[in-house]
Amino acid sequence: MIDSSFSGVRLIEVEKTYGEIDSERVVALNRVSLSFREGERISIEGKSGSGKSTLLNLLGGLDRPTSGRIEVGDRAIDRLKPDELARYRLEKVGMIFQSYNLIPSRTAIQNVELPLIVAGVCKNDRRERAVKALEKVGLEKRLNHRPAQLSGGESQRVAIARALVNDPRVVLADEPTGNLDSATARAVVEMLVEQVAASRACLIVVTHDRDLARRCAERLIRIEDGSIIEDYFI
Amino acid sequence: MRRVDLVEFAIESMRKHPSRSILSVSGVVAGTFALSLSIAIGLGIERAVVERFRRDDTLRKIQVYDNDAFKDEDFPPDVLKVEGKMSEAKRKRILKGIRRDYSSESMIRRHIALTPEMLERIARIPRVRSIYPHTSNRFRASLGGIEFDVDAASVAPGDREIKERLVAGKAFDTLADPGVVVHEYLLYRWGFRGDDEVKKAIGAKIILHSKTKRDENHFVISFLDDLKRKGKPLGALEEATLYSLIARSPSLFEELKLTTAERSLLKMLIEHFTPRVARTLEKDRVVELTIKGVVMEGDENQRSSWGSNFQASYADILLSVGKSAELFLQKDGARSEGFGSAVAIVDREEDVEAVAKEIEKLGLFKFSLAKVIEELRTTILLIAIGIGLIALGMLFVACIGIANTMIMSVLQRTREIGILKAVGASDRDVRRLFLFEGGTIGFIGAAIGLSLSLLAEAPGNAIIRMVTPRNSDLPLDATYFTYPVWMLIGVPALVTTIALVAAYIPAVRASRMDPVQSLRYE
Repeated sequence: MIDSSFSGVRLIEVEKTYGEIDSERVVALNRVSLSFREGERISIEGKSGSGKSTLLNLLGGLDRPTSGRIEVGDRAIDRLKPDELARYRLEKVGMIFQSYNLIPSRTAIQNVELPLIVAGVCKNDRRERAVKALEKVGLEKRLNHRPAQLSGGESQRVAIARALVNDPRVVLADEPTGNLDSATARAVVEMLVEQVAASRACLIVVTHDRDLARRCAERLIRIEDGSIIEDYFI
Repeated sequence: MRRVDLVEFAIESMRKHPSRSILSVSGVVAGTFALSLSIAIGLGIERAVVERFRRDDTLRKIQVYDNDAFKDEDFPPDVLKVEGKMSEAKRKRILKGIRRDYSSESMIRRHIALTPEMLERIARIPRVRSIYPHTSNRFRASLGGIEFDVDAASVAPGDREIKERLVAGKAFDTLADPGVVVHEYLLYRWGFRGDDEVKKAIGAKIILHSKTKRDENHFVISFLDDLKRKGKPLGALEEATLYSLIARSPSLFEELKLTTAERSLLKMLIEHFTPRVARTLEKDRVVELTIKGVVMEGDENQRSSWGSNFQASYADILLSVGKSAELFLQKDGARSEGFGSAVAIVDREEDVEAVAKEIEKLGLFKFSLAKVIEELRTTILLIAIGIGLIALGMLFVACIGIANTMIMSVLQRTREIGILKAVGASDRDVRRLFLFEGGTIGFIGAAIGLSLSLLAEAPGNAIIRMVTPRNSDLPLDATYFTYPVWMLIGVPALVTTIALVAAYIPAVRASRMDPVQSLRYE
């Protein structure tokens, strides 16, 4: 079980390496140490392959560090058993992806319901919560539309609703506006910031768009070749 | 995840790929249909056969016969000699032939007869409920002064065939019922022609004479034949005169007022010609009986139940086993010669074997259908198992189909697996998701297959009835399909379990997928 109390995230000397390519280890993250406060909005910038998505996957419990320690609240998530890690993802984390990662065969509301289904919430409760989450992102009229019937911005808003429906403590967004035009991107980011602020979750956005980064975050972290090269508050 | 959601996911996945799902389910349907049908028909035919015989207590009956067997010491020492060099096996075979040959020629016989005393001994064997002999007699029957020679046969109470043939009155209620059941043709000959007149015969008295006209005719014919054989041809007039003289001889013998010794000597003399002639010298015994029932001619396709007196099918009069035995035993020598056969009824079917062994120990021949039925049941069971194995083979192939479907499903849903894991699904959740999908395919296929099997019952029965001969032992009004509760539950459970096993490896593979890699899968 993950402790229900939450007082931020801490990475201590986290290293992530991948298998050997051409007889060399690929270092995705090189002894990174960071800490994030509850309710903090952080933007992680970096070029493609700099290690920012790896960092996000480690924070989201989708991957494990090769070495080092990741603490969420007072629990080291790098040492959790697979089932405990899944529960951490379910209860503490909301993830938003560049390509939305919605299930094409399911409607908007059914996609938002996914975390609640996994949590074993009964049908009526989860429907009510999913409707509310979609109302918050302005999609109350698109409940029964499938992803193919939604625009990019709408799809990403469905993804945001899904990420927030479980009231997570950490919201991780990986290039959330990467597939959107600038106007839609701005609107989506504003809505994301607003929703996360309302829930007092910690928002960590990975992007290579500096303008977007400044708009949604109060703290900027630049990462290059797996190492933190800049970390400052705006 | 809740089970109901897992089922919804499974159905949703099947709906996404209808062709693939229909093919997978079809395989399971075919396998389940064949499996359930083979079990149902195996159990159904077995039940129909057993019920058919159980209805007439056949499975509790043991037929008992007298034994003409004799031992080596009954033969003169020089008879059982086998000459020449031969193997021991052949020597035994030749000895068997000598024994058979000599016994048929010789008068010395070791006869274990079914005497009344022997029946009493059998009746005392534990778990024997009752025993009665089957007897057949010839009488001269008289009603209203009209006489006919008639064949009489014994009938046990409750005999199904006789009950089915009754046109008036009743059959026998007890083993020693004193009444008589007559054939409608005999009544016709006695003048009871109309339908209503047959009913009027109930309660009428008939007189049975132990001596028949046929016995007297045999006496005459035998004498004439013997004279001819000895080279004394007779003219037509002489033959007619002699015929008339000899025809009256039995009554002349009666008039001679012979002593017992003289009668015995005369009988021995005539017995030399033929035993039937000797019988004419027996005293005529007369008995009066009341008609209690009338039977019609039996249907030629109608089969008497096993263990009943087959002679009853064509007898002119029917007597209860007790009354028939009483009249049979009044014949000279019948008490020592014994009955030809008897039927022992045991308490339970399971007792047949033990009682049969006890009867065998008495030196008698015995035969029961219980063993035959048991062999028949085993044969039916083996056939059902054979078909069942083929059906299981079909199910196995169907399960390969399910495994293939699940592997395809895992591949196609790789990204979905990544999404589910990203939103918090555990390995166990993902594994259960695919297991439920496999299980749902199995369960739906099993339900449809079993339903089709149930629907096949009516046409199946019709086909079996069509190909079954009318005089078959199988009852034509029965159903040949049995669906016990254990099967209605067990078959879908088995098929679903097999489907779960088939889905297990793909499910485990899905659960072990790396979420990061899965989310990148295109």
